[in-house]
Amino acid sequence: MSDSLPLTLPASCGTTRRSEATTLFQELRKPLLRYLACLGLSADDAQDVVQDAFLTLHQHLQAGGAKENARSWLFRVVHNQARNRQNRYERRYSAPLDEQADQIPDDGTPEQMVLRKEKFKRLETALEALSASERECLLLRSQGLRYREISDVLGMAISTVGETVDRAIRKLAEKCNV
Amino acid sequence: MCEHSTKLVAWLDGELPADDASNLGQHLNNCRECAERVSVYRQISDDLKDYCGHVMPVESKSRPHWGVPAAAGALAAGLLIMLLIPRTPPTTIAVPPASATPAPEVAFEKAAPKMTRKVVRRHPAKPVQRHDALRQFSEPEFQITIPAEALFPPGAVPEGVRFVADVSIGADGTAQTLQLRPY
Repeated sequence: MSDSLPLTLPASCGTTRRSEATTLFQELRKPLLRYLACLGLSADDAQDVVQDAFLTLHQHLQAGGAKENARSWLFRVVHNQARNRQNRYERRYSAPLDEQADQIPDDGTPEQMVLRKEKFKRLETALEALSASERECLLLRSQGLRYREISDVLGMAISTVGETVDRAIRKLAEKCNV
Repeated sequence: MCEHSTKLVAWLDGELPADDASNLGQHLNNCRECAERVSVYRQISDDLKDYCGHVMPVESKSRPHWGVPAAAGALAAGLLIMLLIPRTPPTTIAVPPASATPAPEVAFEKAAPKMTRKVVRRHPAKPVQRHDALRQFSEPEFQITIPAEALFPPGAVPEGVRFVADVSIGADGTAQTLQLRPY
């Protein structure tokens, strides 16, 4: 999948471009990092990928590109980078999820923490049982992306995204016994 | 299974066209099965968002902050260099033995200018303090202990080997002694 930007808005002044990039960074940095972590990247890898993506976006905006669909573009870039890194490291999406369940912050009673950890464990197991596209659709949806944006990121039809999300949610509900 | 069940997730996500969403909303008031499914899907979606929010600390904990260790390492490296570089003893100028024949006297009086200007100091100059005097007191002022992890880059110290460096700093700021000891 190509990362080329089909963005067409006219260029504006450099200061506006910088503020656009800053706004996007503040708005999307955490969702991008979380998405990458859920895909299985280490925290350091995720930071590197997000930083590279924003650097590229900044250069694009400086060159006069638009930011209309920068949100889905950023997710698409980091998604492809995550896949490249996982292929390079010969890792699978499901591998690191188990390790990260222990990073749940201590913000409740011990009983609440145990229950929460168990819930997350069940969720992880259910996520691992999904197909790659189902998992990716769900994770992107969890970061607030609309179906149209998910279709941009994953290169799927919007109707396919809707069907995939619906199927994945049903599977999760069944596996987690909610 | 209700015929509307395939649209519930899309309705929950606000992805249905306005008319369809309105119709489904009315349907949910009458269909208990769909209402329960929507509740389950909403719950699982919230759990997933909660999970994604906590799956990774946003600020990397695995990436160490090198500020303090780097400063400590730089300090330790500087002290080690100061200790390891051998101090060259003060060069002594060999004084030639006194010659039997006295050196010819130079007539300084003749060479000096005749017109001398007398400089009157309104304030007598203070005696110059010799910094060398501090060097006479080389008793250690304080001692610092630097762990091996701060002296060497990560991975340089083999696992299982743990030691610290005790460095005594003199009053003049120079390192007096360096002692490695296990702990």
